[in-house]
Amino acid sequence: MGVRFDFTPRSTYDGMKYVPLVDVLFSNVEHGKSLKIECRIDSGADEIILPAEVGIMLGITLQTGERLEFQGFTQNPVAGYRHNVGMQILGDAHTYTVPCSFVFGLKTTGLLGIRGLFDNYKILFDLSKKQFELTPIEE
Amino acid sequence: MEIKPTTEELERAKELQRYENKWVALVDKQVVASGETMEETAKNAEKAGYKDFIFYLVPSSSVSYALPIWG
Repeated sequence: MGVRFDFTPRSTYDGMKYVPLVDVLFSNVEHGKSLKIECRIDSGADEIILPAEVGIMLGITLQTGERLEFQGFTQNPVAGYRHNVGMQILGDAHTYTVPCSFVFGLKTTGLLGIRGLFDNYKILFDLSKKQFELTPIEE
Repeated sequence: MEIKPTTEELERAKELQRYENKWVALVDKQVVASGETMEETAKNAEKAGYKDFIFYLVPSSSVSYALPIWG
């Protein structure tokens, strides 16, 4: 059974855009500290990417994670550190432990990419109804 | 296919636009606090009496989003 969400309207210089945003509870797997972040579903992102600030607020010592570089298509690569975190899409009861990279200088909210989101959920976008649906992939 | 926004959608989009490039704290999709950092936003939300809220970093409205990222 899937969980339906409404696209979120976003006003931009060239008109209204509809963005697939979901509320996510992220938690520190070591001591359970948690935060809720409204994140964007991004099939172009390889994995879950969050601003470094989120990791710091979760009490994660970022530099102890695997260091990676992330590349958008015009900017210079930026550094990130990968850690496992707990993830729960609010509205769905399932919880997952997923790798998540905390990136310095990220000027956007969290991005839910292929690894972590798309490997745990089947996702159906229906812009004509301004809705999308996440269905957990049962093992 | 042209998708027309409703009045409610326009209002929400307009409200968020006031906070572009800032963190906001949301309760029931409404902005209850904002700040330059998450920490400042959390402090402002708590000061306003909210303990349970959702963080969101509002993007700039002058930027069209297209950001494939790979590690």
